[in-house]
Amino acid sequence: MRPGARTPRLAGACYDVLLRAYPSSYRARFAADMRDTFLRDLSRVRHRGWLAVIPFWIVTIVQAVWFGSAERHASGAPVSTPPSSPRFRLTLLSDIRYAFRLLARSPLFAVTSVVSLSLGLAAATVIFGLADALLFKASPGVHDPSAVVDIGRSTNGSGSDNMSYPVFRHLRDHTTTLAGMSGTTFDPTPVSLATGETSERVFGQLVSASYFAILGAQPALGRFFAAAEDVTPDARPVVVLTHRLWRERFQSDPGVLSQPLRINNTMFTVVGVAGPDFEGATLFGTDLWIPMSMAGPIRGFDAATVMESPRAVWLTAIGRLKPGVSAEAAQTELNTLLVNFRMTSPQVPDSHGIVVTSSGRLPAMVRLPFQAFIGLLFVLTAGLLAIACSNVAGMLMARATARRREIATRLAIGATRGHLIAQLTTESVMLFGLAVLVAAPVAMWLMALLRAFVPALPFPVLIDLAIDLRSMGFAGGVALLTGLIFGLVPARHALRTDLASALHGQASTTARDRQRLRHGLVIVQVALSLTMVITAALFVRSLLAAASIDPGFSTQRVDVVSVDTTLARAEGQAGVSLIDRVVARLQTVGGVEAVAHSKMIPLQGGGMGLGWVRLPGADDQVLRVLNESDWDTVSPDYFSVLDMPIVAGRAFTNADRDGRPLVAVVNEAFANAAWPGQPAVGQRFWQADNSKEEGRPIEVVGVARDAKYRYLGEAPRTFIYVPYAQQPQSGVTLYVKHQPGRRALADVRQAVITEEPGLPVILSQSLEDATALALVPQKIAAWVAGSVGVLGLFLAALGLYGLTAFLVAQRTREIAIRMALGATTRQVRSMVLHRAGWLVLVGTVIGLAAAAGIGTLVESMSLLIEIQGTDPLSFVGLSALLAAVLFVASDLPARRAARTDPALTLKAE
Amino acid sequence: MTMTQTLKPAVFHILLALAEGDSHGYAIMQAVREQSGGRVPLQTGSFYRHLSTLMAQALVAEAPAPKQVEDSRRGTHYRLTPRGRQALELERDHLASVMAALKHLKPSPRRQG
Repeated sequence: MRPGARTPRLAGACYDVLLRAYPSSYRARFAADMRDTFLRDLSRVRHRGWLAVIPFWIVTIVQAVWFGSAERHASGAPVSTPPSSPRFRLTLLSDIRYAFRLLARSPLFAVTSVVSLSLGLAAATVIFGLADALLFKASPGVHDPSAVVDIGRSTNGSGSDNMSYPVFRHLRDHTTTLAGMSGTTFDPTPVSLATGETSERVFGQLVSASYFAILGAQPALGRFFAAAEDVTPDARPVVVLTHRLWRERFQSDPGVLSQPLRINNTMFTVVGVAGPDFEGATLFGTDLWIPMSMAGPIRGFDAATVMESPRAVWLTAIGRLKPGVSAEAAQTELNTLLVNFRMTSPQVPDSHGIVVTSSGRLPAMVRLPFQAFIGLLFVLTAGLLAIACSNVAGMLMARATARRREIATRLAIGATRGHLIAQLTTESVMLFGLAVLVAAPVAMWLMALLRAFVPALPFPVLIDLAIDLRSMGFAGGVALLTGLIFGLVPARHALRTDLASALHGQASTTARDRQRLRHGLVIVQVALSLTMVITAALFVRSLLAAASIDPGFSTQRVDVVSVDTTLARAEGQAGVSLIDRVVARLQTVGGVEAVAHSKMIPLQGGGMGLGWVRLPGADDQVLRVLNESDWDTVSPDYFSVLDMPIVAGRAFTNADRDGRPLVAVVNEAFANAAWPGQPAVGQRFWQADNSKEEGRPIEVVGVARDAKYRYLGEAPRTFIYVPYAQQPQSGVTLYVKHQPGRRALADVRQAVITEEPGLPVILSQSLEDATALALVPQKIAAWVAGSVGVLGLFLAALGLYGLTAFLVAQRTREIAIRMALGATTRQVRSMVLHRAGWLVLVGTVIGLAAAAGIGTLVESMSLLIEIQGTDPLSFVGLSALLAAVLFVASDLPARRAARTDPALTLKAE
Repeated sequence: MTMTQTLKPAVFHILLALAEGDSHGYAIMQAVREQSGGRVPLQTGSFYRHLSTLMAQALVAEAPAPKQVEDSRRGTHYRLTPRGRQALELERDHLASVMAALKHLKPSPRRQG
C-alpha cells in the first residue's frame, strides 16, 4: 500500500457505499463523522499489518449491514432516497441481516462451511492465476492480440515445431490471408554485449522486420527495422533495444541512437528503443531484437546455409490475420503454399504441414504440455471445490429440513415462495461471500508457495505469478455461481413441502427425494476425494521412486558453468583452444579438483543429434533405434568427473583431437542394439549429415554404463559420446568439481572472465539444482494433489459424518422403538452403518474408475516415474485408508444412536 | 446471575469518557478502549449506534465546536447533558452499593469448579 493517498480515498469510497445501508435521517446526522472516525480507526489498524485489516473490514461490513437495516426498521418507513425499488432493497437487507443472525446462532456450521469453501476457492484461484499468467493473458503492449497467430511446422498433422528459412520466406511472400508474417526464434539467444574491456551476457531475439508492425508495437525512440535491413545476410547490423535495457544499461540516454554497440564482436547500430510496455510476443524475455538476416553473428550460423537450406529448421513464425480471416482459413492457405513449395524443393518431407494457432504468452511449441498439466491441476482443485460445495449444500439442506416447520408456518401465514427462496439463497450466497474474503489471503499465501517452485531457467521468463483482480474476480464469480446453485437446490427442496404434515413435524413424502440428493452428494464426495488421494499417491510414489533411481552419474560437488564460444567470436577449432585455455585457468582456482565439459546438461528434458547413424548390414529396425540416439560432445575427463564408469575400452584422451581418426564412446544400450553379443570396442559406424550421404566412419573406443539422459523416468536409450575436440559445438557446459566444502562458484566465474573477457557466463549453478529441474512437474503435482487430496478426504469424512448424524436424528423415534422392542446396540449400529457403507462403496467404485482415468492420463504425459498409472499399491492402499476414515466418521453417530435411552426418546417425542 | 450494572458496558464507558470533557467521535472511541483496557469492543458502526441511542434518550447532545481546534480534522463534538451526568452518578451510586455489599464477602481460599 505505498501510495498513501490513494488507499484512504478508496477505503473512504467503500465506506460511503456501506453507509448507504443506513436510513437517510441517520446518514444526515452521522455519515460525515462516521466516515472520519472510520478512516482514523483504519489507519490505526493498518499499522498492525494486513492480517488485522481483513477482520476489521469484515466487522465493519457486518456492522454496517446489520445496524443499517436495524435503523431502517426503527425509523419506520423505508426512507431511502432513490425510488429504485426501495422495497426490494429493504427485503434484501433484512434477508442478509436474518441470514447473519442464523449463521451467528450456529457458529460451528458457519465456520466449517466458510473454512472448507475458502480452501477450495483459494486453491482454484491459485490455479486460475497460474493458467491466466501462462495461457489466458495476452502479452503486454500487443495491439489487438486476438488477430495474432503462431505459425509452426506440424509433422503428420500434429505438433508445432521449427521450420526452415526458405519455407518461411515462401509462405511470407505468397500469403494473402495474413496481413504480415514474421520469423522469430523460440527462445532468446544469449549474446555478449561489450562495453570497454568487459562484456556482459544479455539476450537477443532474431525477428523479421515486420515483427513490430504485426504486434502493433510503437517505438519510444527512433524506429523499428526497415524491410531492406532484413534481406541480405550479414549486411545490415542494426538492433532495437527493449525499454528496460535502455533504462538500466544506458540510463535512458537518447544518444544511444548514434552510439555503435559491439554484440558478439560485431559492431551494431541502435536504430530504436521499443515502448516501455512492449516485451515481445511471448513470456520469454529478451533484451534486444536483431533482424533475421543477422542470424550469422548472433547464432553462430553460417548465414548463407541457414538462409537457403530447407534442411536447417531453426525458426518459428508469427502472423497477423487479415480482418475477417480465421486461423483455420490461414492454415489451409499456408498448407497449399507449402505443397507448391515442395514442387520446387523436394527436400521438404511429405509429412510436414503448417499449423496456425492463436498466439499466447507461451509459444505454441510448448503450450500443449503446459495446457495439459494446468488442466490436470485445475481438475484436482475443482474437485476440492466441488467437495466443499456439496458439503455445504448437504449442511444447508439439513438445516432447511430442520427449518421445515418454520418455513411451512411462514408459508401458511402468507409469505411468498419467492421471498423464502430469496432468503434461503441469501444465506448460502453470503456463506460463499465470506469464503471469498477468507480465501483471498490464503490464495496469496499459496501463490507465494507456488512461486518457490518456479525453477531457475537459462533465460529470463516474464511471468507475473500473483493474485490480481482478475483472479479474485474469478473467485468471486465462482463463489456467486456455486452459492446460487447450492443455495437454490436446498431452498427448492425445502419449499416442496406438504404444509399439513410439515406443521405436524412429520417427514413428508418428498423427503425421499431430498434424501436421494444428499446421498448423491456424499457419493460424489467420496468418489472425488478418493480420486484425488490416489492421484497424489501416484506422484508421491513417483518422487520416492525418483529418489531411489540411480541416474548413472554423480552430481556430488559439481557446479555447472555454461558459456558459448560464439559470443567470444571463437568457432570450430578456435573455440576448442579457447575452452582449453579456460579449463586450464579453472584448474588453478583454489578448491577446484577437476574440470570437464560437454554440450548437454543431463536431465533437462532434451537431447542433441549430430546427424544420421549408418551401419552397413543392420536392418531397418535396428537403424531406427540407433537413429533415435542422443549425442553429446565431451572432454576426456567428462566420465571421471561425473563418475560414469567406462565398462569396456577407454575414455577419450587428449590425443583424440582434430585430424586424428574420429572416435566415439557409446553406451551399453547402443552397443547391445548395434552389435548384440559382440564386443563393441573396435567396431565402426558412420555419421552422415543427411539421409543420402554415406558419412564418415567413427570407431568405437569405449562403452559407458547406461545412464538417464533426458528424464529420470525414461526407458534405456541409446547414446553416443564424441570428443569435443573433434566435433566442437559452440555451447559448452563446464563441470567444475570442487574439494569437499570448498565451493567457489564466484571465483570460477571470475576466472572465466579473467581468461577471456569476451566470454560471458550464461548460467552457473550446482549440477544438483540443474538436474532437479527434471522433477519440478512431479513436485508441483504431488504437492497440489497431496494437499488437495488430504483436505478432500477430511471434508468427505465431515460430509459423511454430517449425513449419518442427520439420518440418526431423523430416525430417533424408529431407533427408540426398535430398542424398546429388544434390538441390541449392535443391531442398531449396523443398521445405521449399512446405509453409509453403501454410499461409500458406490463412491469408491466411481472414484477408482476416475483415478484410473487420471492415472492413465498422467502416465501418457510421462509424469510418472517407475510407477504405473494404475499402481495397485496406491489404489488398494488408499481405498482402504478412505474406507477406514469414513467408517470412523459414520460410526460416531451410529454409536451415539445405539446409546440412546429408548424411554427418554419416546417420552420427548 | 443478577444484574450488577444498569448501563451496558459500552454505554457506561462512553458516558464516562464524556464526563471528562467534550470530545469528538474518534477520541471518545479511543477513550473507551483505553478505559476498559480493550475489554469493550467498539467499532465505528456500533459506537455511533450507541451514540444515536444516547442522543435519543437525551443523555448526550451535540456540543459547540471548541474555540481553538487542536485537530486539523473537524468533527462534531459531543457533551454530556445534565441528564447524562445524572445517569452516570446513579450508576456510580449503584456500583458503590454493590461494592459495599461485596465487602462482607470473604475471599475464598480455593475456587470451586
